Amino acid sequence: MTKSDQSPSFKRVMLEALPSLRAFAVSLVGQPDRADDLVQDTIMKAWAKQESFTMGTSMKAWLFTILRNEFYSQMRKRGREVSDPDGTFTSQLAVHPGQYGALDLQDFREALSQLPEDQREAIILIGASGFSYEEAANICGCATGTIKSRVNRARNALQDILSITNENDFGPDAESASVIHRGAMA
Amino acid sequence: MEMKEETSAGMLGRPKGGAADTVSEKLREYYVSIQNDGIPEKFLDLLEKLDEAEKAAKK
Repeated sequence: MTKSDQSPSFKRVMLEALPSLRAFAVSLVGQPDRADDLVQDTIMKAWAKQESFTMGTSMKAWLFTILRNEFYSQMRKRGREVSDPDGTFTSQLAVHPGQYGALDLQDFREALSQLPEDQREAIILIGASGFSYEEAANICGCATGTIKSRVNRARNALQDILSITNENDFGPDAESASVIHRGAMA
Repeated sequence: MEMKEETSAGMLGRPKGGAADTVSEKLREYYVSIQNDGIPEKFLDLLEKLDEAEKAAKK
């Protein structure tokens, strides 16, 4: 099969995977603008190396792997910016409620943003994107057992954060409450 | 390789108690809400351009 024969359906299969890919990006990155930049970079990278994709295998897993690698490589380039030492990430979350996802999910989004990236990606891949532990391990380039333990730690951390969230009645003052929470964990 | 949504999501959603279910449910709810936004126009345009550029290059 030549490349031009393959191209139209490559595009179609890619389109089918995009809503989930974007949901992965937004939930992983937290900031919709940066997530969309990441999706765009992923589309271009994937297009440029489409010959390395084998039709019939999971386009979704392939794209997720590219996006994830791109995410970490951008994070390395940006250095500490992504670790959000000044809470800019937190303010952005507080300023744009409901911009992505329903308003009542804001507490959850905030809790998710407090997890380390490796735990966050693991619980998203397993709990929301619908990958098996084996597939998630392939995407992350680690052992299946590592994914399992990250998912467990992520789930426990989210439970802890969300129960604190509810007790304090997180409302409009979510930012200061999360700062207090971060301070307590530091 | 086929995605089995129920399998992995089910594993996560059936641990010890109610709290875990809430976390799993909220995560899925959040993810689905983003997914339901659909594909932004700019991505459709980008794919269209990539496709056209590729076709043009072949002529």
